Amino acid sequence: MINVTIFSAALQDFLRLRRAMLWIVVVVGLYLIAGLYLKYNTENSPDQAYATLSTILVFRILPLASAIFSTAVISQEVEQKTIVYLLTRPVARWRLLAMRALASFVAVFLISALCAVGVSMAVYHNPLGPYLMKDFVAIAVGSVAYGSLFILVSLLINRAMIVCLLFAFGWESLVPTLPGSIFYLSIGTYLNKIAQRPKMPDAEHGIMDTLSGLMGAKPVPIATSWIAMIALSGACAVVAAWWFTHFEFVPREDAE
Amino acid sequence: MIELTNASRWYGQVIGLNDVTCTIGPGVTALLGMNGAGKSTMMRMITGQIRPTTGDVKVFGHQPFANPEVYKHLGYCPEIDNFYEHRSGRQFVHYLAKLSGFSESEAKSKTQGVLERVGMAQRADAKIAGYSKGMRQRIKLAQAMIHEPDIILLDEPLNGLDPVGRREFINLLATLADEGKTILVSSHILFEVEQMTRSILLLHRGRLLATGNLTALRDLIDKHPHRIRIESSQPRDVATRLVGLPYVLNVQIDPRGDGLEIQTREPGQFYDQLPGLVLDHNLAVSGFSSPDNNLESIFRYLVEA
Repeated sequence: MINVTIFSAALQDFLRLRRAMLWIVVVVGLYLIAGLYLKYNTENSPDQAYATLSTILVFRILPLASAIFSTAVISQEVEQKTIVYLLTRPVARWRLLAMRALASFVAVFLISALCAVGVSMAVYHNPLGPYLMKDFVAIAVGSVAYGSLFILVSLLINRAMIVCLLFAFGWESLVPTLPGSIFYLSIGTYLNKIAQRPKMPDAEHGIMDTLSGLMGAKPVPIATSWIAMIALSGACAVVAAWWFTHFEFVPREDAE
Repeated sequence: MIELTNASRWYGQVIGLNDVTCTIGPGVTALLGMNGAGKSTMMRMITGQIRPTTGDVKVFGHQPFANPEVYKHLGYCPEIDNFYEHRSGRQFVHYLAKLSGFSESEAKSKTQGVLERVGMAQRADAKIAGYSKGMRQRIKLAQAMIHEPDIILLDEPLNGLDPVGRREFINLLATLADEGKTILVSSHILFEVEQMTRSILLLHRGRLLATGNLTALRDLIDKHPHRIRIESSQPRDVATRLVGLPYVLNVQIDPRGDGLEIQTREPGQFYDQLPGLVLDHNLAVSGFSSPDNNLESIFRYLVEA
């Protein structure tokens, strides 16, 4: 009962009208950008175009939304000083964190999934394109993986949003294209495998493929991707719950 | 119910609470101290938001930090004025009622009951963003009382309340105390505290300077020469009349010529006789005040004592 209360209140808060409107604008924007891309890139097959657009648009919105909602789970409550109302209720802290985190995962999934539907509409003129279900699975995994990591970061440091955004747009864009084995340290690498993107012919690499991290074959089996994502999410979740239970979270400006 | 044993709390190099030992039981107890005295630190320790750096804090025999068992019996009205502004007062209190473990129907009826008790039942459906300071204070109090806790901690609860609201609030505290609740109220205004309780904990620069009955403190104040400032356009005429009174020790005319200050060991007697003197001698007195009737004076007396 308390779990449902925490979850539903957090989800309502994350997706309340004003915020939801902003995300709907983003979805429409992605649809328009995808349309423009298709207009000026007629040589790619629809599958290749979807793979590029999905990776460069949907799987960039995913960590962006995750950074925003993950920091809202606890650190935003601390900054807004409303954390005190939550922490002085007869609810275990780990449960509070877990239910609010779950709500943020759901919110991120819904927004990213809508973005994927928008791109699918633009490419296939069909909201349920052939790769959409696989993308939904990868988005769900990504929501949990990015979310767990970002929530942990937001508990550990101040101004976590900046760090999370740098990770989402800097690290995640750069690392998959670097030589060597460093791509193993990118969540995007595993999500691309889980999404089972169509393989890009090497000769056709352009700037968009480079940006989307699709350049070059990544020798990561799907099973490894699943294990890596589950291990990362589990480890981050456990450490975050332990940290939140054992450390103080008081409104910062209020400290005497 | 609440026990602090040699509890200290450091914020880096700054000490927030310094070696405080005390026990707080049923009834209203006031935590009195100037801004920065350590009141909020002590409140946060008791409510388990922070841990003592050294020493021990116990509530019902349990350490309160992140302890849901303690929170079942503890309500906290924080000093901060922050809310979920997009929610209505009723939604806010109802949400916290459900977090306290009540079912939907219980939470609804408890919310209605507590909103009536704090005088917000008619106004609780508007968004908190549009509330006055006094309405916010009432909602904060409502959320602290929603689960009928045995201990209620109120951090500067009278801030922003109008005189009627203050009176209602003080009456409510008295009722809760009569029900056997333990109530700890922090304030930096002596006058407020005197209206609520006689039992005080006096904090100064993180240290517990005095505990016990406020009357003893008041007596201590009255043992010292008590300063009274009188506003007058003819301070010399007034001084001439007052200097003859046996309990007036000293009269000093303000160099600006708009008043005078006297010192007396019998302030009560002086206040009783002042109106008669003014009327009998047609003295031009426009007002009077007591610079000593404040916390700073108490602290000065206690340090000197």
